Amino acid sequence: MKSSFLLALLMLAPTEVVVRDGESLAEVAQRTLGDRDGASELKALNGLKDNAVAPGTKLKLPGPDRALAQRSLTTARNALAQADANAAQREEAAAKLKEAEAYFQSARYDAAAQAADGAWKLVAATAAQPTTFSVAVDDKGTTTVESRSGQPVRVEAEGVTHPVYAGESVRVVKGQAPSAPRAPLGAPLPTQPANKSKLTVQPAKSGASSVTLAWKPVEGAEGYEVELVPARGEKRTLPANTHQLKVPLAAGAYRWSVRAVARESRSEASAEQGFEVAEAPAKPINLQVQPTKWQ
Amino acid sequence: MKSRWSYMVFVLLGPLSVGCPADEKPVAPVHAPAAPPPVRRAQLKGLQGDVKVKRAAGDEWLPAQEGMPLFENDKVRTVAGAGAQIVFANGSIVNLGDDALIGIAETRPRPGQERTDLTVLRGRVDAEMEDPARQSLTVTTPAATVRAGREIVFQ
Repeated sequence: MKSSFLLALLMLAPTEVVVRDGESLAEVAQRTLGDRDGASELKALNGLKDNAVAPGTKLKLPGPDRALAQRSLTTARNALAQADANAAQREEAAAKLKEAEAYFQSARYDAAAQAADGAWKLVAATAAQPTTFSVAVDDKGTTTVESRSGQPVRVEAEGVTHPVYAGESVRVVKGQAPSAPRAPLGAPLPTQPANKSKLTVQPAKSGASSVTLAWKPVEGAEGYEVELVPARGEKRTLPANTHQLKVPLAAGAYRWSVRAVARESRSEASAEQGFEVAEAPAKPINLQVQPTKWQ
Repeated sequence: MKSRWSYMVFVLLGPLSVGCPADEKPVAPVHAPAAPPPVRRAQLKGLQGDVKVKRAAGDEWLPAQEGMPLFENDKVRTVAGAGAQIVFANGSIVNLGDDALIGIAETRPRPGQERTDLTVLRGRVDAEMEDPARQSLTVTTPAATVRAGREIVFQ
């Protein structure tokens, strides 16, 4: 018990500071708190009537509750900055945050933290939607973060932080700062052949007839990937440069889907479609034999 | 009482800061507390296919079991076609895709709430926080740190 008490005391930061010759209160605040604006806190904390402090004066310094209050204030400021301008209770939250800042300036750190939390809760309540996001890491460690819904997520790398809002994605290469967030690609909408359709194709001399798969183009797509799954056989992934693809197919049943791709992202796959390919029966050959005079 | 304690602390620790002469009896060192038992951070659910777990203290990959608890520094691995759901104590849910490798990171306690940390070394995870006002999730990867939920501090 005693040893833990002693350890705790050891870990404490200095609780007092002595004012140096020619030092103003703002300079003391800069030296001890790292912030000239902390002068008002020192003033309140030490019951000073003005900013004049004589050299050699011992001033009481804030305790660890200051850092906690600072943290709550930062969180509340960020939440308010991100909240929709028309969000309900935004004004109330702003007033609460102002109140928290005033408490902080007067060194009432517990009250400041409480008010800041109150402000944060008011705006956070407007974003009650679940927060969903995905993180994908490839073999090289390259990370792709997609924010799907709810509050933005923060992506930090190499000292740079990007907020990623719902619907945006960010790619981070190992050892580099995150790319600027960009809107994700939409999933393509298949148009041809119609779902569950039965196609009749003329047998080709090469053995397989071509079927055209088509979909609506997606803005921002640099290409597409078609996934084709025959009822019998292995799945194939086929690249396409444009919003349609001609594929030689043997008779049989197929399922397919398509996704848009760009340099840094891939869309979700489209809804899966199905179709059947049947070869048209060969046309009867009408042979007429001309009588000949040959004997 | 308080001043008496302060005096005792000064007397006891004063020599520590300047060192003890050889002829003086040194002050008994303050022993670090024993390592705390592992903290249960999450639970494995919705197992599909081949999912394995490696305990922080072990070298062996063990077959995962439904409802298996996960502790700090445990690792979870899925193979192609496999998947699992990791449900954290604060309710955050992380769906682990196939061919993935993740680690349950250490959690730093925050006043009034819990903070979960997850390391994704390979593969894809889909995270969901039903109540981002109270939950938080920090995902680290070899390239980035992703923070979501309550404990966001953007400085």
